[in-house]
Amino acid sequence: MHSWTFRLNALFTFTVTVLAFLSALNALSVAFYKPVPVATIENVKLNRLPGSGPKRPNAEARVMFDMSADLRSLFTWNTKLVFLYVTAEYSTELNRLNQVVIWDYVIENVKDAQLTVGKSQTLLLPRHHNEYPLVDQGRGIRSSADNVTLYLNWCTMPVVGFISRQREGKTEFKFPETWEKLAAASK
Amino acid sequence: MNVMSETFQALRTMRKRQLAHQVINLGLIITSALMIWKFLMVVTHSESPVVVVLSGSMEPAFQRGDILFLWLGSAPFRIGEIVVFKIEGRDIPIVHRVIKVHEKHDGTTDVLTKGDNNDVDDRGLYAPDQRWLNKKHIIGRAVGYLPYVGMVTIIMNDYPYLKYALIGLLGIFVLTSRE
Repeated sequence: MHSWTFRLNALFTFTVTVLAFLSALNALSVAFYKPVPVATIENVKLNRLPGSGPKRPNAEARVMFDMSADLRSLFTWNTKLVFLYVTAEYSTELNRLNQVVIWDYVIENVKDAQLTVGKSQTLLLPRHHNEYPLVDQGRGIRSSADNVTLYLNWCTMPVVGFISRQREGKTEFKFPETWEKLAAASK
Repeated sequence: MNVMSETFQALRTMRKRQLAHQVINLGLIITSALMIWKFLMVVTHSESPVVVVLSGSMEPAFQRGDILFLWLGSAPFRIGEIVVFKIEGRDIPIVHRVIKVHEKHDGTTDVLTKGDNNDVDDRGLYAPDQRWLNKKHIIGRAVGYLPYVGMVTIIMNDYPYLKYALIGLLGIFVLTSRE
């Protein structure tokens, strides 16, 4: 009865059970935790409009913004990293909702969770940082009268457990109908 | 070799009834595993409720060998969600993040994805002439995360003999174990 295979099996089963139980406890321990992040995004400016020519199938722009965030409260013992991203959202004749990521950044350490991005303070973001042009599907973003809203969003990745998403801090701006003029002015 | 002969002895000395009992036990284990899987499929609306991450394209969030629990549901797709999708002509599903959503007035949605660790979006991975993902391509959204455990299936897929050996060993173990 007490052969080595039996003992090995018992040991393995026990280890796996304990690990599974502790992982479940870990995931549940932060399930009701409410972080208090602070995030603002403002001063949106359109920079360079490379796709503004009428022959381009999709309207396109580079968007600049100021942003500051204190996401330290998102880091618990069950936070592996925070994926921070800025989205532009608007509606057009073609689509009732358009969402486009224009910037993203990976925060792996609580020490990096306080950040300011903008013209006054330039933060060096060496790694895992991307900027994207705001490319519409079609050219509706030019003609649609709606405002474009920028949101600061983040996705919290756990060590083990549930992946969650949140958004905070929004700002609105309007796309001008005549981009050429603006492109000239922003030079 | 001692173990082998012991196992053989154990099987030989079993009475017919007990042997039948053990075989049924083995069948029960296999069918309940299947039932759990199918049940999860019904609950999550996803054809594959659990997937193993196979590439490093979502690093540092996911590494090769991590396990993701999926949920499809019927909610509209939103930006920042991590979705698992299948492309026609490709067997292996891909886990990437949604970076663009265009929702039409009739509710159909065009989605564009990108791996966090990739420099460009996924249009190069899609089928030729395919520019967007739609609901039919997406088999689930990642809602739960468990690191490392999927390494077991990766190793077993890389070394199929190990898989057969392990299954055989477990089978023998179940057959010969007594209360």
